[in-house]
Amino acid sequence: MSIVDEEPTHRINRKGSRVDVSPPARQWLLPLLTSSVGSKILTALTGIVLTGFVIGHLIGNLKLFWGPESINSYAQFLKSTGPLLWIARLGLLAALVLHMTLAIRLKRRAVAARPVAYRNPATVQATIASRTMIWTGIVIFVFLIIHLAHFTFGIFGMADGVKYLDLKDDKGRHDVYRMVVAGFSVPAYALIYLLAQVALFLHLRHGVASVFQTLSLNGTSCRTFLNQLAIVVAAFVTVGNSLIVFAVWGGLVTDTHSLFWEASK
Amino acid sequence: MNLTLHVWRQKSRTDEGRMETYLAKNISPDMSFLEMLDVVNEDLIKHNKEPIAFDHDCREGICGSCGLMINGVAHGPEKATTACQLHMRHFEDGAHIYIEPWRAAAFPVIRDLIVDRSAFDRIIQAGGYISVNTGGAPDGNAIPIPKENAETAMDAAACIGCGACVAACPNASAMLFLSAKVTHLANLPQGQPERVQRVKKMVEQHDREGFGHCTNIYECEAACPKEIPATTITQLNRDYLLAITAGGGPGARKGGAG
Repeated sequence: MSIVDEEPTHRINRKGSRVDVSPPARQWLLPLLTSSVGSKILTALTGIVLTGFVIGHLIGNLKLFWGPESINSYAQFLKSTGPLLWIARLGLLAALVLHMTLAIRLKRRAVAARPVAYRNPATVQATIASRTMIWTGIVIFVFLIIHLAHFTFGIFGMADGVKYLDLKDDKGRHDVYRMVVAGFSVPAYALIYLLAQVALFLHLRHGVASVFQTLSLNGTSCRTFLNQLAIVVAAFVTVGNSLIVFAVWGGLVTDTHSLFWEASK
Repeated sequence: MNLTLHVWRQKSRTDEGRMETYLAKNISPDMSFLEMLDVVNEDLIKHNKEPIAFDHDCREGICGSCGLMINGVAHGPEKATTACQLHMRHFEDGAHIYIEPWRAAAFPVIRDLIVDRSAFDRIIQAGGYISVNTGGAPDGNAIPIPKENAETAMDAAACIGCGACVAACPNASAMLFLSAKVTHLANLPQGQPERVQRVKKMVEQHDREGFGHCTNIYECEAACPKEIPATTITQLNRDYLLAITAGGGPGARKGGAG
């Protein structure tokens, strides 16, 4: 675990300052990847990327309320970006892998740091969200796999005897709209999505506020504000996503009409 | 007051240890928590039993020796209060009180409620100092220090190294202790020459001792008898990030305050 060795890594320059002359990777990459504070910083940075994705993903999803034309053309546009889409996908995958690897390693170290538990444990001011990050994170990851299998790869689920990925709208595009309506019409799937949203709320509620502390972007006066900001961001994502599920359940979004759209016939 | 105590008893580092129950009878509400333990111990000695071992020294809340997990809360229920300054009037008559030692791999139990906190000493040895020439003491106030820096440094320097932050942290992290020292010295001109190396070395030593990481839960801040704010951890994070990426960042090694 140590990142220090006994070789001389410094020299004195002409001005008389000690200058680090070890290879750059030893100077910043290794501490960033291995130390507790460095790992936290990387977890925060990758967390920003993932949070950004979750927010963007929701905004795209909300197009469902404006009908098939809106969301299907948006999906078509995303696919048309070609290499850019793949760069984004690989970037997200890398961020996810790094985020999870570092978080799990930190958690393992933290568990090892307290081998004997308290017989009578108590907390004073810790939030539930802050104490369950690893568990909400795992729930979100499991959900992610289910979600990708469900809608991205269309492994399970059919709409009117047609596989999700073979659904086409009148312009021959992939019919994302009907796929989502069909998907959330199955209560079991919808329930999984709603449960995942609870985990996502808790994870973001602590994660978003934590990012500012870990990257030292906060000060004495703004902790309350950042806490509220985190709740707002987490609530936005969770309420927004859940709204889609409830709208399909409640019949507000069907194959023929949506909140801001009505089929012409 | 009559109380039922559930106390961790452990003969040595290698002993497995167990909770044992004792009755504390005729306790005055004006006694401190440690005085209450003294009474229990007197009784144990009278009955030829081994007294409960616990750490204490000044008994006025400034030395950092005493440290007990009381009902799962470091130093007990009162805010900004060490166990020695905690009075029995804060407990109900007939209450059950659970008393455990600090729990951390880096703080092995020596006996009963006493833990070995020398890991803290090694973190300080790694960088929690400034190098000065010996000789005549410099004049007080000879170096101008902005008021705000002086206050921040003083607040951080209030740390008595009791270890409550580690005990309270779900990750057994010593980040508040470490950051208090880093913030203390980073805000003073005397701390500047070694500022970049200090934070790197102290974090390395912290990790090497087997403490966990900070997950911004802030239980440490709630437990700290000296009310060291978690903003010191913010400062630590900033100093560490700048130390490893930008050699301390703009203004490093210039010897100015802050």
